[in-house]
Amino acid sequence: MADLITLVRTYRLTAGIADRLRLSDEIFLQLEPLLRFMIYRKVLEQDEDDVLQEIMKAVAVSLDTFKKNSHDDFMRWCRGIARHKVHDYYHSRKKTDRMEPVPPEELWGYVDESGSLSAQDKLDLETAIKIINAKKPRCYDFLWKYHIQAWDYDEIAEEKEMEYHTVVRTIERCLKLAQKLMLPLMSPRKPLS
Amino acid sequence: MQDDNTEAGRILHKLGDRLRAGFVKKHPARHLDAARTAIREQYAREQEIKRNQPATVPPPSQANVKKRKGPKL
Repeated sequence: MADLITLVRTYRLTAGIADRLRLSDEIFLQLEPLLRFMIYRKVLEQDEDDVLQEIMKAVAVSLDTFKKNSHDDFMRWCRGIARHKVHDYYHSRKKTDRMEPVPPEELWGYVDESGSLSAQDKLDLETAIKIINAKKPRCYDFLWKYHIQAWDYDEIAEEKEMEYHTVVRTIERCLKLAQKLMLPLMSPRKPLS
Repeated sequence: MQDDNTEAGRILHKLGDRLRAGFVKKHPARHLDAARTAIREQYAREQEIKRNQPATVPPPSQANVKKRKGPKL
């Protein structure tokens, strides 16, 4: 199967409807799960499919306008669309966008699905799950977006309507807290319970 | 993009990669029709616009333009 960005580049050069639909299937076969991950725990579970489909439609009708050539740029562009749709979702419900912490057992469910783990991987991931769940809600949101969802600083700044440098400093502060917390967790004399 | 200078940053990034990989496996695509419908509708709109555009007449080439005579003096 061709990689995502190759398919997207081919799509924008394609004019016929039959070819576009075929390429759309190939693109969204790969992209839909990634788009779903972008809104994971961002909207109520019962609304997730509706919001996801709104995002997919918005991506689909604008696919031929995406002019860049890298996978990272494409994912960044998709995240922008996803953010706007999530914003609309909250706006229509007059609620505030709030990240729901994910229970550790649910995170482990996905980690186990990802493939085999070495002993070191298991220790690292156990520690990562403990520190991300131990942080204050504010830190949780920043660390989740930056490290788990792989957003850029400026994407976080835009979503939170904050200055770029404030976002950088906040993430640095949260990482320092996480660093302090993880040292005893990773000590061989204090095995994880 | 990712700043993994700290050990905490490195393991959180690793967690992100693992979660994404597992999530993608557990949630395969099942709404391809939503994208197809949007693309079909967009295509229909584009065709409609093309049909309603007035046919444009290409400008005459220089070779076909007769030289105008200047006023008789």
